[in-house]
Amino acid sequence: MPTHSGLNVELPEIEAPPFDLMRVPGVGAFLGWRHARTFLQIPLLIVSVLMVLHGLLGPSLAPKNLATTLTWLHFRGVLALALLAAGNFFCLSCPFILVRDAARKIFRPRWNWPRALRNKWLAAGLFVLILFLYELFGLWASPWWTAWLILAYFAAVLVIDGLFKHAAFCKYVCPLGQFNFVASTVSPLEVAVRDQDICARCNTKDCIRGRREPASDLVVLQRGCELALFQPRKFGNMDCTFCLDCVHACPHDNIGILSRLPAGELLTDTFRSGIGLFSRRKDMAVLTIVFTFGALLNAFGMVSPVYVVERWLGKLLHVTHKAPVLGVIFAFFLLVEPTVLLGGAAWLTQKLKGSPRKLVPLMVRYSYALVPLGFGMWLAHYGFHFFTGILTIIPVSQSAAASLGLTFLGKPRWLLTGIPIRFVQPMELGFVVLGFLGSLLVTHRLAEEDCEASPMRAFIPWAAVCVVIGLAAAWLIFQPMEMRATFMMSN
Amino acid sequence: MRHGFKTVELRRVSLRTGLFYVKHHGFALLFLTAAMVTSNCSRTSQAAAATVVEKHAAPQPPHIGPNTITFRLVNGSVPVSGAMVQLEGDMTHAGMAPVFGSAKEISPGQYQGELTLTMQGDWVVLMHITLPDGRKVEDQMNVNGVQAK
Repeated sequence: MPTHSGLNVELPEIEAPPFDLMRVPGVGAFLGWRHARTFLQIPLLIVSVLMVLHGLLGPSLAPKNLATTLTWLHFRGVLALALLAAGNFFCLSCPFILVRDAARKIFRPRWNWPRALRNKWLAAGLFVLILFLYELFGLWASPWWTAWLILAYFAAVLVIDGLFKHAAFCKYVCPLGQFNFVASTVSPLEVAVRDQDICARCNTKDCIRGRREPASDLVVLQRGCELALFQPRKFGNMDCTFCLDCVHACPHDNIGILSRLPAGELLTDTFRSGIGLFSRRKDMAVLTIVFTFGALLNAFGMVSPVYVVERWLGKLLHVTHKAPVLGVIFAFFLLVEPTVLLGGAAWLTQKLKGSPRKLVPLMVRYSYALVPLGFGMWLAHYGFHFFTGILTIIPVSQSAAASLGLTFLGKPRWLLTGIPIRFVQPMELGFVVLGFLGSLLVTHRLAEEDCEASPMRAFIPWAAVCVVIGLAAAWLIFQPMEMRATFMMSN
Repeated sequence: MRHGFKTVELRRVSLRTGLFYVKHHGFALLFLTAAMVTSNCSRTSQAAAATVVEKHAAPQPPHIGPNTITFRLVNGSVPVSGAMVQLEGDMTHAGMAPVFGSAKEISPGQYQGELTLTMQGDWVVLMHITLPDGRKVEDQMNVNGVQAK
């Protein structure tokens, strides 16, 4: 195993990558361009501004507004499909960071992010909060609130990264970023070192330290990784925003966007720069649990049975307001269900002598195996909206242009929608099955590590969890879609 | 000057002072402006030439398939006859095709039409009305909780 000369630590060996996006003619040259990120961010910033303006000043009906149509149909769909097909390219193009970088030319952040908050607890909480607010206020149906959500995001980035150094918002706060980080563990591309031997001979560590003006240490010529990921010891996509700062900083041109086995990073519990060991990160395990079970919860909000449950809970609790009812549903999906399923599987693994680990460490370790399944469910859900409504952006844009007196796009063709549901439903099922198989594979690999002699002892309980979640996901897909009604409130 | 943002005064101050204001008050100003603009602009409406009243959908609860939309069009308390009415049904969630129909006058000032709703969930029915004198009136009603048959 190669040893890093400067840090005297063992480095993981990697096989020669078969594909490097940075070596693709044209694409590599573009991504290697210093302003590539800005070039990608500017169009998204312009679209964001248009969405906010149309959300605040345009039609109040969601299907006729750019804010709701782009946010809840197109953006989510493209995001999930990009994560599936490539990697975390949304964070690369994040318009919030473009504004932050501009603001930092005026604001100089003074403080380091508080040590007590250097984990994913806050981010996991905010992830749950976003899901909760989405249901409570019906964000999908409100251009006004969707626009304010975007503005609030810009404000949060500016305040947090205006006060705290590095990428505190991305790493510790941004719920959307956390979604991307977790989902990108199953992506086929990764920003990674091409040749570890070159890193072993490197003395400058520019990939993490950045480059500064020789005459003045205060002048940063090129940022290093703001998320504290040291490339030679980085493993996988967790916490990587694909910002390519490390690519630009590396003086040896030794960092690329390399192909890898999707979800391969979940197959092993190795030390990861900036993260540590997955098995020791309860906060990160909770984030993955929110990610996985949140996928079921978010989809459950769209199907008919949710209204039966809501009405029943409303009567049981003697309440007419949605918040307490939603609170109970969220507690069931994000607390009770994971505790019962993961706790039960961990207990059974111990009983079968499948692992010497204790109960909670077992739950933490195997929670990561559920990520492919959770991502499959998110893909199925977001893919449904995206594919069935992909063309709606045309009439909404025509309508928005017409409202400004711009008629060159023609009259809105409101009947343009997308692919019929009967064709999209098999795709949804395919995503879930793919995720299910991925989770089974990861579970089996972890079980092999835990119980080399008889991996089935550890595998069976966790495979059962995958089966339960997979069946729940498949059941959700075949429920009649409701397109998010407010049934409880209207009765 | 310390608490104000009058344009004329701001022109006189130096770049450094300007940056000071942007730095310390920029975000508050931005959000205050956005809030003022949006609260004034997006929720205003002109005085209507006619008003839509007594809107309702049948059956109750509404279901997938044909649903009857009925409403009265009045100017003050006087029924407005002879209007052309186009109905449009949209789901509250983006991504679904709208449905269209028309309404006919069934008695003086009372209009009725049919819309075939295609999916369970919440719908909004828009009424695009052209008055006999050519003026346009727009109104809408919520048709929530559309069920399977």
